[in-house]
Amino acid sequence: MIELKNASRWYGQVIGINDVTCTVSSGITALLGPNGAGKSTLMKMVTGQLKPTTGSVTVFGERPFANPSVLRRLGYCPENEQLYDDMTGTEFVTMLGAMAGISSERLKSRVGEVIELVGMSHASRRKIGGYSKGMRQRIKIAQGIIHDPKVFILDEPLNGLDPVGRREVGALILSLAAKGVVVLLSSHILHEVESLTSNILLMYRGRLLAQGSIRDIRSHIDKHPHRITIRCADARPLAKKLLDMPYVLSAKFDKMEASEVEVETRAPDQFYSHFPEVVAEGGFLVTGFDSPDNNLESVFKYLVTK
Amino acid sequence: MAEIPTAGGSPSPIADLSYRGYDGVLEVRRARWWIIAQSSIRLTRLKKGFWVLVSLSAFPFVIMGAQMFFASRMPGSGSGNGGGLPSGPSAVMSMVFGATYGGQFYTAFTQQGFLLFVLAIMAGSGSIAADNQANALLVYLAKPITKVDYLVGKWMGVFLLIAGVAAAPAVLLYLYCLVSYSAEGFFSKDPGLLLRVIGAAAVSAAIHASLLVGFSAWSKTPRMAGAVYAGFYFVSAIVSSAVWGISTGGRDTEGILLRHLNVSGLIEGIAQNIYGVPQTIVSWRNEGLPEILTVDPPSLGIMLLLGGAVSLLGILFARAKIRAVEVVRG
Amino acid sequence: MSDYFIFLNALRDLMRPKKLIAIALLVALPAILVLLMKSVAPSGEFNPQVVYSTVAAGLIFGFILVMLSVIFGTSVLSQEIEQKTIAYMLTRPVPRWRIMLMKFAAAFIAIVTTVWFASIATALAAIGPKGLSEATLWRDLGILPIGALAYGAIFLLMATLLNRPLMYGLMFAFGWESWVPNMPGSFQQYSIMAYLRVLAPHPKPQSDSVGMADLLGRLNPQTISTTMAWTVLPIIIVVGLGLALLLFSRNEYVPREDAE
Repeated sequence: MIELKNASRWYGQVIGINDVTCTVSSGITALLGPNGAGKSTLMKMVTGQLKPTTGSVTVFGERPFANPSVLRRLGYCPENEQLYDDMTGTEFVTMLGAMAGISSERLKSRVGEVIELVGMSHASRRKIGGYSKGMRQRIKIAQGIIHDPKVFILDEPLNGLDPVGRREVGALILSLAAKGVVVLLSSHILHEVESLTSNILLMYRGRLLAQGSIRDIRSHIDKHPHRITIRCADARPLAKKLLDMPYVLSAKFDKMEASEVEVETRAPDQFYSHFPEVVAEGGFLVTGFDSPDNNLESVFKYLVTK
Repeated sequence: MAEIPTAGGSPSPIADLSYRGYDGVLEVRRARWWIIAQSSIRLTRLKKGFWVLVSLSAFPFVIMGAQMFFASRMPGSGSGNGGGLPSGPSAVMSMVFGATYGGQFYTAFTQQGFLLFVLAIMAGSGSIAADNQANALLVYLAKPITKVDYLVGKWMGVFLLIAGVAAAPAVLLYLYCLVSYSAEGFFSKDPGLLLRVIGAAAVSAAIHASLLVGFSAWSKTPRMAGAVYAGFYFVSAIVSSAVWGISTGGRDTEGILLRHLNVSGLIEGIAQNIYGVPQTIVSWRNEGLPEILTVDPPSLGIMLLLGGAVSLLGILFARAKIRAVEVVRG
Repeated sequence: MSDYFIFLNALRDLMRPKKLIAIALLVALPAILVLLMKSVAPSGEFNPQVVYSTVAAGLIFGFILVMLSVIFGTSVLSQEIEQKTIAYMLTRPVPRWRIMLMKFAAAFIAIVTTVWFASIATALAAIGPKGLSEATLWRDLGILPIGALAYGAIFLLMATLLNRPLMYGLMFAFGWESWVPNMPGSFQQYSIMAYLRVLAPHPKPQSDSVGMADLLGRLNPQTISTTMAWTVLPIIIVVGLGLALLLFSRNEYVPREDAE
């Protein structure tokens, strides 16, 4: 649905996006990267606000720039918090709903539906100028989904939301994806993104650094051995057995108690498939199992800081 | 080999890349406003439009200089009329604009007036309004600076720019005249002209800066501040002109003070006193050619009082609005 | 449907209470000045037609029309960019030119309503109820919308081309438009005001003292014919508006600080 082919975007002599090629076709995709990575530029190109300097950007097979045919099926929730402060939430969503092509008969009820969906019914008749950051975020999401888009682009949707709000917005995004909406969202809150998707596009200094599932990406980072933490009543004999495996590089104990061992491996898949066998054979009592390297934070850290 | 900074000061081959606290002296600067003024000036200097206006503002002085140059090269030109102005083809212009060097400088200054007004809008409309828009006052006033430091910094940021742009071409023309026409009495007949040039530029800058910080502080966006100031500038000119017309029946030599009761009038009235040139009015009262009337400039005392009051009002208005709170409107 | 909402919201934004107060002041200003003139003028010296004509030329055509056109004409686009709300407009499935046209229509209505009310109030103040039957007033009411369209189109075009259209607009409106109509020869043909003066002439009273611009105007004969004015003004409107709509459809309008 969204396709970038060697897309680059320059702002004068500064490069915003540098030769990016990627495809977003289903489910939820998280666009990650530090500030200045080019996330917002990419989103602005996908939503038809900016044109690529070189290369191409297509959505539903068409160029999105000023293209109503694409924009009809696309929803966008921008990052900045500035809105029409003199309008009420209802007026704001109504105007943008009408501009999205919703018929006058359905407009009022549809506005009510989406406002309720984002949990803003109580404040929708108040002026936006008096809204908190979280309320602004919710009303922005409401305008983005009012026309039931096939693709929904959210730039930092979790910013300014309290933990409850994040959970609610997260649930909303998941439900949209469940209905078949393709969601592309950017965020800095990595653990929240992780709860929404494992599919990421990682950008850094305008370049696309990695794309795919977190686990796939992690498995390709051979420079950094994969760490696995195992909690066990007596970890030393287990560690000894594990070190016999050819793909286990090292084992490290937690302080003096030896109730936890952290092993490093370059072949996590093989490790995971043989690990139950080793445990069963040795009769070890494993009480916990964890991989700190399988999370988004560590992938992000590895790729961006190295 | 250079010594590598290490954690805890102990020698180590590994560099300490962890956070380093500031261990210098935290001094309270005396001119805290200067930091804010510098930042305003830097922001304006980066705008292309600023340099366009700087160039255009210099134009009246360039023309005046060219006119003097060609006039002095004409056959028969010499120490000529009045205060040492070269005679020749500039005679008609001299008749209209005043026959002294001071008169010529004043004329160029008034021609520059509209451009200085536009420049003031560019430099000053966003001075506080942009901070209001971004809620940046919270950040400024959380630093060890007072409301007065902030206000003085913003005011100086606008004032220095306008004064600089107004004075620079005039000072350059002054230097040109000093080199070229000293023999014709340029300096000896009016030794204080340089001070007059700088003084007039400062007056213009002070009035624009004071009013603009006032309008800017009460606006949510720079655009709004600029539009309101432009409205005020023109409406005050229209109203004072109309009131003058009503009260004098359009008699040119009467009600000079009334004609100056507006932003540009105040600036010109004070500048005219500083330059010490009479008010020249082109009148069409009689049929045929226009008549050039000369009247005394408006009273300096009253002009200064009014200019000062207007400027003070602008600053006080701004002061009343500068608050370190995030404004949320319901 | 979407056009109606864009238009309505743009108009509502122009009619917010604070803006309405400013508009009301602009409407009242010329009438108040006329009433003041009337109250102090010796009996027999107040010529209602001349006073209306002077105020209409100097204040309504020369200031209110131009000033409102600068502010409202440039705000059609600049306000959205400055507020950073332009993203909402540009990501809707409405052709860009229609968004701009609807917003321009709202600005046009606001300008015309203000200058019409100002003209009618001035005529009433100067001439009284009979003023409504004055041919000059009705001619002005007909020409003012043309002026609003011409100036509006130029300022809209400036907004699509320049970063700070208000500043350049003010320079054009009160610098260029004050001097160029009075320039000798065909130079005056480069000013909108010169054409408006041909279509809605307002003779100046003889006893006025004049500034340099006016002095030049009195020395230089008018070189624009009525036919020429009727030809050029529509061209300015069509070309200015057309170019603005075209540029808005093709160019990028993203707040600069948003650009990473």
